[in-house]
Amino acid sequence: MNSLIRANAIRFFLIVLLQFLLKEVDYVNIDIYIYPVFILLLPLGVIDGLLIGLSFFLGLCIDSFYNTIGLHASAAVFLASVRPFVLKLLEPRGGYDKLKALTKYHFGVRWFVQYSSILILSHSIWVVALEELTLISWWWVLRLIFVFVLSMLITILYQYIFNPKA
Amino acid sequence: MYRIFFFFLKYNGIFAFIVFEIIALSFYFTRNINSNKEVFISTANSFVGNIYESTSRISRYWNLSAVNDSLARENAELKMQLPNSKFSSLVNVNIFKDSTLRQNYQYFDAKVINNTIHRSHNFLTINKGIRQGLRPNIGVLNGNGKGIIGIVTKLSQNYSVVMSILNIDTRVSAKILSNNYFGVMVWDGLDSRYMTLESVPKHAVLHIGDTIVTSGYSTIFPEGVLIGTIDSFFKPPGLNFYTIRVALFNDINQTDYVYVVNNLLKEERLNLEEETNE
Repeated sequence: MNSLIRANAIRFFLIVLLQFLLKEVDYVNIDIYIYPVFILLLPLGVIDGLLIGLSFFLGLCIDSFYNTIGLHASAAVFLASVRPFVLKLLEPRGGYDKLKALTKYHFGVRWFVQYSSILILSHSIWVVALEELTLISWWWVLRLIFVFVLSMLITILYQYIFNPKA
Repeated sequence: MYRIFFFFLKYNGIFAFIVFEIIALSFYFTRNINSNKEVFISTANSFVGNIYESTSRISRYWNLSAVNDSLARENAELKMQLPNSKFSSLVNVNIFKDSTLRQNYQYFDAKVINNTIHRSHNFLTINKGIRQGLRPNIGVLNGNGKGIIGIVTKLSQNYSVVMSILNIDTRVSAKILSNNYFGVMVWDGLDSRYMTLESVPKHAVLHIGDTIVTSGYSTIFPEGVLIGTIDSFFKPPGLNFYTIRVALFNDINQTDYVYVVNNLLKEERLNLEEETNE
């Protein structure tokens, strides 16, 4: 229990730092978002209210250096609210083991890619739609595809680099 | 009582979603309304501001030679304006002190410590704030005298956030220098080197290469600050106005030193105009 809290606290600071670095190297027109990883990897036992509250706080931290007040906070809250439904959708036979963290290490690559791609896609749609606030145009779709693919790539990469167990 | 408690506990996720989403979205959709309430969730807060100041100190070192060049050029221009570098053609020099002139614009210098150009809503952070005398809604000009940068929106004690002209919400009143037709400068969110001048009537005669300057009709920028030149223009079908593509004089991406310009007579003029509108 304690190790879970410690692992998530460390991950919180690591993710904020990584997102700060990703923002600083913007030679391309597209943002890469790594902060959803924190919400994806929060343990199963966390009640929905706390999950959403933590996501809101993380989103505000991200907003503070992107100067987009409320954008990432709302996207993170949306992502956290979709998460329980996706978990129910992908439930393995026999249910989840509450003590295991939602990582590639415990559930396998195939499960993790399914889980993260649904959530990252909904997050990307929310962010791009709010940022552009226009009807669907080719630019909108192009931006969505790039944001989704790059964020997905870095989410999977995170799993391979750190291979978190908790 | 217990039933209500369990009801809230059972659906805590839905309630948390509604509450936090309303807070976040109301933050997002009121971001351009000028209140200083949410300044702590922006790069003007002292923690993020300090980080940016130290990282920009490193990158500033690499720009030193370019900055030196532009400063030397500006020094030379200023030296030419000194009284002793001018030849007076007057026979009797006017020795009376002029008490009819009064300071209208106040200039501050500032350094850019954070800057983006790749988003649709771009902002800069500069290292001057309320303590140095800045106020919301005042203009920011480029350090070498050519081009405008943006408008100060949020301030903390020592930092302020500037809404860049490369922000799809920014509107700048501008005019064509040669014939005084005025319009509104907007940015389409795509190319950081170009902006669009709108609302210039169809009967105006335009030439490619005409200079665009600020109009001075708003209280933010003084009149006649150089913005850019006309790159191309066309008449959209069904509209009475030109769409003019303006090539900017300054590259916002290279901005390092800026001037913040404060209109000291702004209140008086706005009050008068408001009285008339009522």
